[in-house]
Amino acid sequence: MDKLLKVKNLKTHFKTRKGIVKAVDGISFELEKGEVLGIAGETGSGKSVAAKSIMRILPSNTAFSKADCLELEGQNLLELSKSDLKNIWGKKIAIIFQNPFSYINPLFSIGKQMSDVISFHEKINKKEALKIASEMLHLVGMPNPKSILKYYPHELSGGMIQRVMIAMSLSCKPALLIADEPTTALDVTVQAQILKLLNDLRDKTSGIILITHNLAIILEICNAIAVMYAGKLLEKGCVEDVIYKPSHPYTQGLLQAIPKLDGQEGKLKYVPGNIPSALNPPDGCRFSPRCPVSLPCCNHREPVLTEISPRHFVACHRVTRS
Amino acid sequence: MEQIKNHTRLNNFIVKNLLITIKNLDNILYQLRQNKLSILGLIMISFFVIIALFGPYFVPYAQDAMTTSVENRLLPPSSEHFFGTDDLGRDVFTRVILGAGVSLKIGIIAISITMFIGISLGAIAGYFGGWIDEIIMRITDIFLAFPNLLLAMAIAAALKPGLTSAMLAISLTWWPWYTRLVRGQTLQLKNQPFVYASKSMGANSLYIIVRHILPNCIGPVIVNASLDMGYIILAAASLGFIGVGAQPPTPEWGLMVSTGRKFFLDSSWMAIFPGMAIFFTVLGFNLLGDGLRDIFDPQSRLR
Repeated sequence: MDKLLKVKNLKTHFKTRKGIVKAVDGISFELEKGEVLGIAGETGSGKSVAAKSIMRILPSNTAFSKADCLELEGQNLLELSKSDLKNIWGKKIAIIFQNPFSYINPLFSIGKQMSDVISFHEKINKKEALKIASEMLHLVGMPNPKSILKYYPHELSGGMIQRVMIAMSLSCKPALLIADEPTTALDVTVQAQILKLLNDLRDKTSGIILITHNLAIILEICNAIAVMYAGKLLEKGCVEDVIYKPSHPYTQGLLQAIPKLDGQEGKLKYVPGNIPSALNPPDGCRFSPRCPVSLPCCNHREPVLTEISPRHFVACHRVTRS
Repeated sequence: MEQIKNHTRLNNFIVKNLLITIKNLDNILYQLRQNKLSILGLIMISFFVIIALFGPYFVPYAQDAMTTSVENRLLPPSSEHFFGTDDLGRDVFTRVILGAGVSLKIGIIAISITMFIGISLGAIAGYFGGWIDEIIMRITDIFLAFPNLLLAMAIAAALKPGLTSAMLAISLTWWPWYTRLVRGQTLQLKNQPFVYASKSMGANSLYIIVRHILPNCIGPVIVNASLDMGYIILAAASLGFIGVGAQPPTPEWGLMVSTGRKFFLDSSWMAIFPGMAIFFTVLGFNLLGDGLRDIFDPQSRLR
């Protein structure tokens, strides 16, 4: 079956004065059509950089991405020129960001910005574009779409602006939607609404990549999950497999750290330590300095993602040994 | 039926936009009102503009724009000639009013060309960076190395003397400040999140510059432009004074002060009234510009 997104051994390095920062150091995954993939990880694990490298939107003078394979619907994204990229941004791949208020221009009305985005990709006049914009606003559940078009961003709340951003990114019906921590800046009730919205809109795009540090969100709407740490993938598979039967010690630690509502006593469990520097990552398994069950070989040899059950991959010596 | 529907639609459109403009003006005027001096500036400018636009229809001696009547030369101010007459018998009051129109014309055209050149170059330099930025900024530096007025005089002297030369010379002298200003703003703005988001939705560079960057630069540019209007009018008067700007018989204030110099000891009214006109006009633009600066950038208040 034709996969929506094929990523093999994607690496993104940043050239800095102190050296080369290996933000993403060889990740591979595949996204089927209609699937929602959640990329989970701590702050600094490289999730946002990974998503932006797939989209090729990082500044080309400092970020260098290479991969053995980076294909969207069969099209190789690595060999696209800048002008080709401008055609696919918004039309084939769209991205929504974390803080909705910062990512919208405060000087222009919602309708103007939405119709401009639509007219980048379709050759239609302003009236038609506004009609499509109003339909998209209705789709994301905004009350009174026609009058919302005339509002300015400061007249709407955070949740509504995030819906507007979702509407903007879906207006050209992209094949892949990347959501980079879309609900982190919103309160919990609005978060639930936005997640439900993303779930309802799954038929509008062929695939969604959801980036978050909140595992509960991933459990809510994702089919597949990939756990990222220090630029590498530690575990990936279906949500049921990874969350209910976590194999990697890091995943287990993350899940243990979620506070439970049913009268949990005692101190909160957490994963001690910090993410290693991306300039000089440790040899062997990147997680071994913090791992409670590390073996001596973990400090020398890097574990490879191996399949331990159908479509469930783990990169851990202890798991693959047993 | 269709005509009536279109008529109502047009009416609604006009009324709605008028209300929006009035609401915005009201906000601006409220803020301006906080600063009494800038209100004074606004009044002076309005006076200047009204005189410049409508004065020519009400002048007492319209023919004195171009013709002379030597029997009336050098008459002191009286009820018939409010500001007296000059050495060719022309009514000074009429010529001062007509001069307002000339100064306004020079000011508007010069500042439009200046802003067009300056803003475009600044946005291009700031947005694209690299060697484009270097080239544009070095050219800007070259122009900035010369004292303002001297450069304008040199350019105007090299071209054929006249009003158009004066406007061209002023525009070619004043644009570097706008380039610097807009480039600085552009460097900050191009890293803003909404520019990034727009790029991710497929915007090209022209759209980002025109829609995102330039509208956010407008504040300081307007402040600069309102202050510059005064200086440009002064520069035009200076060019007219030394003879490389407006040529006789054009009623231009600087030119009038220049010709009035010869007769200053006996018939001082010839030079004083145009001189005062220059003074009040430039002062008005200065006061207005200060007030606008306080609105757009409150942190720059020196008090």
